[in-house]
Amino acid sequence: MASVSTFSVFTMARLGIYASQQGLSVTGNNVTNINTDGYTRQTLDQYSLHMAAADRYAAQGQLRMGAGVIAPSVSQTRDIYLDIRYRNENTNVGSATEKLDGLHQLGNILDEVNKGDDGEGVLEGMFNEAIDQLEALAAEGAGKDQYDGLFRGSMQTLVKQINTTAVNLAELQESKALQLQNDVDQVNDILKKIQELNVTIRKNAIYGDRSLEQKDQRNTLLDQLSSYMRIDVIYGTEEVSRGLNVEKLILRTGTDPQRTMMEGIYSTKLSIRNGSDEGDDPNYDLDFADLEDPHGNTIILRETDLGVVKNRDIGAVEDDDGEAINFPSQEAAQEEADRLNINAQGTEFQVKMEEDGSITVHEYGTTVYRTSEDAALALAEIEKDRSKYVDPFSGEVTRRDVRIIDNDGQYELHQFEVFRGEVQLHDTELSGSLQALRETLTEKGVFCSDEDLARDEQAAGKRGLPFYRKALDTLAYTLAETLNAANQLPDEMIYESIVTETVDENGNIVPGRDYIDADGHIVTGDKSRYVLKPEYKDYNGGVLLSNHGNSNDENSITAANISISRNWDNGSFRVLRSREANPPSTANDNLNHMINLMNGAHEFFTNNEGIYEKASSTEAFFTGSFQEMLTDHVMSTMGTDYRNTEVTLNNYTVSADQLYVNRDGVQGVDLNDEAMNMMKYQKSYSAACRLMTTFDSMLDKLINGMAV
Amino acid sequence: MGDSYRAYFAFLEKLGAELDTLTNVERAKTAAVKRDDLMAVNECMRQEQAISLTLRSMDHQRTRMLAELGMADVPLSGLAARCPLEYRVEARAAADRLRAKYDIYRSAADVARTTLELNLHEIEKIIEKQGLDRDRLPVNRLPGGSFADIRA
Repeated sequence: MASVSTFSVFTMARLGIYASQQGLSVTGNNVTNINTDGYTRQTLDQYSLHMAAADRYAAQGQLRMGAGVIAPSVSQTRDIYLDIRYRNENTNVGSATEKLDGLHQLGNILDEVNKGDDGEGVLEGMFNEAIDQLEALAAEGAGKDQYDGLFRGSMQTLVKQINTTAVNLAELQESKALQLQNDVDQVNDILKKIQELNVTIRKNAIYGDRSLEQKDQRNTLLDQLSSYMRIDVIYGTEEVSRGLNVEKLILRTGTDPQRTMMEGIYSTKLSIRNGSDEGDDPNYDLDFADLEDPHGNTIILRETDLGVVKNRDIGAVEDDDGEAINFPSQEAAQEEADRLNINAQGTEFQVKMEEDGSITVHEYGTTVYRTSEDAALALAEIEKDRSKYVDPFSGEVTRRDVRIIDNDGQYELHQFEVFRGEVQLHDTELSGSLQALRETLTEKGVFCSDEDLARDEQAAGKRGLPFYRKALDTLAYTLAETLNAANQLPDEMIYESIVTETVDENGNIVPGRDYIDADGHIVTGDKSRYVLKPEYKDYNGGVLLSNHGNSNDENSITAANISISRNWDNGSFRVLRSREANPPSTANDNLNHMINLMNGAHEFFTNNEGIYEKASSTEAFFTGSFQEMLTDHVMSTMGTDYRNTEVTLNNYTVSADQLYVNRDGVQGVDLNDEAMNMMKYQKSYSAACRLMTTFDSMLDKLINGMAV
Repeated sequence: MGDSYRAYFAFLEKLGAELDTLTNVERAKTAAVKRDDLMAVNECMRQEQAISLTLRSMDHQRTRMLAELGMADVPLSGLAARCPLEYRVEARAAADRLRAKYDIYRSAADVARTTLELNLHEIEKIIEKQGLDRDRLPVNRLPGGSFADIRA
């Protein structure tokens, strides 16, 4: 008996026509989607149909042949390798782009090149102008109001510019913080969309649809996500019912330790734990929330890749003589297990029971279950009390071992990974643009604290906005400290006072000093009533730069608050022209001293309190003049960072572009290929039609033309 | 002791210069791969091997110098913190420069690796498509009898 019937050629031709038509449809779909973003070229899957089964009594010479063509599905032409490489490179590009963007915006504020007059920077020019005015004061105007006012005016301009720069930096910091929040929202939006697509793809897969268009959308979203952070995409399977497996997308962070962001229809959300509204020095830590399905249900349990350990000898609880203890009841066994757990946490305990012939194991309060479903359900209940199981150090998922006993009394050790609560990401755990933005917002370079170094040992070499803000604060503080010290003489030198002696608790004489007013009363502490000594009767020095325009407070001066002091502004204080007693009217020794200070080198210190004075625990991170601090340190560092990041970005971009082109070569629609396919399917269609016509005429001959 | 610190900082500069050379080799290798110039790729790889030997010897030197300074196993990031106060600025600057050079080298090496691997991936796909046994493919020997397995 032939495997193909007399009329089967009609079916064969029909299948050929059908396959060609479907092929032409797929080609048409490809052509029309040539400009669709993220579209992956589709191909028709075809195989040859063979209908005959093995025939025990078949004759040796019997012809066996195929029965036509079957086109059951459409596939995409993707290369997973290229996807992985492209996304990894995209992460590098995202990171470098974000860093460069931060430096660019910083440069708009701090970079002074070609912004001032005569080739000087703005701040640099103002420093020079102040020095010029000070020199004029020393040369021609010592003691003259007009010259003092001109110097004050130039200093006013300088400190205002420092204030403006500080405000601009603070605003940039705020806008970057908003950008981070926005980026986190974007990531959550992407995750949500991928989750929704996963739901659709899963549902379609159950009904046999391959959801190619949804997968395209998902791939586009994964590409987008990869610029925010390094991702690891795994295509696993999920058994939705016995024998029916559908694809399950697992999405993890691509850095160590890997954090699960999505598991099929369960997805996490990203949030900022310590943002700008929490404290002055936020670290903008990021957290992953628990995995939830679209309805807000939490995933509790899943078996890990660690698999099943079978027939492991777990032994039994032994008494002092080494004999296994048998318990009369479940309750007694439970009681013993509980007691042992209390006594020695972290070890395994087994309790042997004989009543039903099975073994029951107690471990961390969980019990052995007979089936994995029971175990899952019971453990899910236990996991509601999450605090008991969260790793106190990382807050991360831990593993649970559950023993399942089969009907023969054999047991299996199933290892489950349990998702619970939120996951707090470590400081250096992420990569991509999110991490670059976090670093722009938080990195302090040389100003980093021990806490920062504990979080990231590379912290001292990373510079974000806080570094530049603190550097500017240091400059303002050191400028104010230098000028204020130069413009004041010690109280005991200029004010009337009396030397005192007191006796301490050890009987030692301790010298002291009390200040007196015009009537000879002791007024120590009330400086407004101190009386100048006759030889300093013209003294009018004092604090030149303060932390507010309405005060003479020289403490805690920063770039944002540095001001001309109230008394200098209202003329009560003047620039001190001499430090000598009874100075002649032309004396200007102190003015020359101040000029030297303005031009000379200073040490700039770091500490973590926001005040940059020298202390035993601090170190000078730069030594040079004020202008050099600005140009040779702050701007030069920024310029170097910018240049290096630009080179790095360029390298990564070249690489990413190359990968994109290669990937597009595989998955993109090529018009030449499609034109070939069109001709191919057109010809096969015609041929199949011709086949049908030919066979029709043959059969016509057979039916109507034979034996007539 | 001061001389030892200065010598170490000078050594770090030298290491940075070596990384610069390596970065240039990586760039040359990328260009050669793009031109399909196997001879040039081979030459670049020979240069890489030579530089890697230099770097290995420099690493021994670095270990020895750090031990002499009493800073064995101190990473580059911790150098400034462990230096005496008077050398910290210099130490930080040297470490910063070296780190920046390394970052640039890494990105250049990444490009070279990507370019090379993409080409290899293409070759593997063709071999797979044609159903060939890759172990039996003829080795393309270069003049002088040498050959380079660029998959290494």
